[in-house]
Amino acid sequence: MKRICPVFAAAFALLIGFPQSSSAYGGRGAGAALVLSETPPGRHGGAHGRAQGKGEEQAHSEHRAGPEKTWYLNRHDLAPDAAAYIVRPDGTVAEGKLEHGGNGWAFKVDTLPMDGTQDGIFTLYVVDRIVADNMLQIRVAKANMINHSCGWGHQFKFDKERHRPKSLAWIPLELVGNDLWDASFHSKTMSGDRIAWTVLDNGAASGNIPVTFTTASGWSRTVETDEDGTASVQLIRDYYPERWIDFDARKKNGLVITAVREYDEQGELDGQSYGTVRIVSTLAWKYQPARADYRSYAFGLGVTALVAVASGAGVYAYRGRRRKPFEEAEPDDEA
Amino acid sequence: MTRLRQFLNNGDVSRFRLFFQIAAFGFLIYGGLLAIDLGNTVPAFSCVFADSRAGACYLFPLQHQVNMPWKQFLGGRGIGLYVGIGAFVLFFILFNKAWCGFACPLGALQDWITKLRMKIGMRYSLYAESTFRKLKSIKYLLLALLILLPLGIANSLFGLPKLPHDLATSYCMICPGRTILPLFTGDVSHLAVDFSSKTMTVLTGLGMAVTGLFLVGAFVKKRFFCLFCPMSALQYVFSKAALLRLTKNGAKCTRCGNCYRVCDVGITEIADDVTSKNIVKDDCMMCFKCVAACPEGKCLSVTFLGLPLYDSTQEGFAKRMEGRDVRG
Repeated sequence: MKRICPVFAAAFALLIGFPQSSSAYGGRGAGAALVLSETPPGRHGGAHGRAQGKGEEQAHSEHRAGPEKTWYLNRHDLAPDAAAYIVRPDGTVAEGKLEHGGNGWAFKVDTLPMDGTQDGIFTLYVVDRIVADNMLQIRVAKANMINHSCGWGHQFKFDKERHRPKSLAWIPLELVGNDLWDASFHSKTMSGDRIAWTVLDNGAASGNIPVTFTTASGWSRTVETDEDGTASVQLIRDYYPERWIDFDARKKNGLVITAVREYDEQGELDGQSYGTVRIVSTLAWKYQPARADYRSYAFGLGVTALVAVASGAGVYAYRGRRRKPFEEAEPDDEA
Repeated sequence: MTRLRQFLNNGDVSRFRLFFQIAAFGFLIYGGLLAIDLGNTVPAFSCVFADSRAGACYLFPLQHQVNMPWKQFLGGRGIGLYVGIGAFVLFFILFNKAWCGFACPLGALQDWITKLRMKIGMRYSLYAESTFRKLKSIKYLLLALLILLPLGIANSLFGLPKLPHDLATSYCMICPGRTILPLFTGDVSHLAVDFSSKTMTVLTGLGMAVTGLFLVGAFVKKRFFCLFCPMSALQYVFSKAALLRLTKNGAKCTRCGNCYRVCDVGITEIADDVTSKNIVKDDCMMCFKCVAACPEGKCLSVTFLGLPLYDSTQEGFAKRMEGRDVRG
């Protein structure tokens, strides 16, 4: 049975606007962002992999490829025209089939192992639109995921294009992260890192857009994009388990990045007119504890130096012990 | 043809090996920068932790691939394991244990440390025969653990609880290749003890201790680490089928002992065994110093698919003696 810290889950649920029991499409609040997650709603809290219980079998690993992966949405109140899009590593696009079940809205991503064309970074979107209170509300939930097994080899190790998450140019507001994985497709965002995301408005970099970075632990920072459309912050170091034995170096902490753009525009959607457009775009990401939190060079080099000196001294002493003192040989003339 | 054979037999294999090792070291450690990828089944320590490597040492994927439940050994994931073993064998049977003597970056490093010791003028150490026999079994123990520990993560072995995931690449954690070879790519991140769990603390602490032992050991004992190398043990399983061979004609052997004296590992059978034709032993790294040091014509030969590549000859021995110390 997997454990979920209720306070942690509640904080993150509050953070990303889940749960939302209302299914009335017009009833959503202005800040009710859509967020994609690999874990079903209710199991949030950054609990990926063995984070749910140290020592338990790894429930999910980025590098454990399977035939499909399921992605979940945090809210039930999707608009009728909501659609999911899957951009594969080779740039081809497929539409995801959104289905509502016991875990809310979800869609599956086909990730057939051994298929080289799908080795790499996928970009997933869910987009919905609705008019309420004379406002066109567009919500974009985005996630990037890796489909990779080291057993497939690393033929894309030097292929920059494969490492670049693909985007759809027509997405009205989108957050794009670069250098999310290293050349071997290991995610590399860690606590304390300075992270940067670019905001694209219909494919073009957009400045002066407020971007909020919110972690599952409740830490939040809002910054505006610069003229290149980039917003950057230094991530908080927020993982301090009470006991060392509880420390989990693979713990994935949730991070949601939200960009909001609002502007006046007259228009009509499904017979309903609006005078304002509000776009809320999110990107779900994760980070792990910084290596400096659990690695020590001083101890490492200390152990090496100690063993080297001790074994060197041992060899020296051994050789010294076996050295025989010089004795002058006296020839026995009588023999 | 005779002149070519004479040229080869009179050649200085130690010098050739030195240049080959430098080239192989550069190729395996930095080949990735030229987008060269030999795959994941290289039968030498082309360490996966060196980011610019040209291929991966097979021990790392092997540990990953056996980390699966029993039933999957007959499924799709099992195919990956068998294909990996097959590719490893194909790589290996071409050059036999010459992978160790000519291509292994960690082996080359030990040879270079030996050269440094010789420059300083320090004498080297040898194991007593009884110690040698005891120590050489360690590599088989390491090979068994290398396979059993990942198996025990995904399965309950002998009714014991499943092992922690941190043991997934336990051998790599204690291998000096992990700590030392990435240094050549500017990566010092493995020179640390990982305190993220008890298992990792023990493994990485052991790894740093083994690194210290490696540096001192390689300085006083030629090819110190090769005696404990599980890759050497794994290779020996397939060695009999290899195309490159070191053969001995016992009838021509005078048991002068030159071959044993120049052997970096200290294999006594190379001098004592006058009955076996295939003389490659589990600790042999096929450096062919023994062939170079043998004064008897065609007593020791290197063959590929039965064709002689390098024979011991009186003329070659005499030429090499003129030039330099064959112990190189």
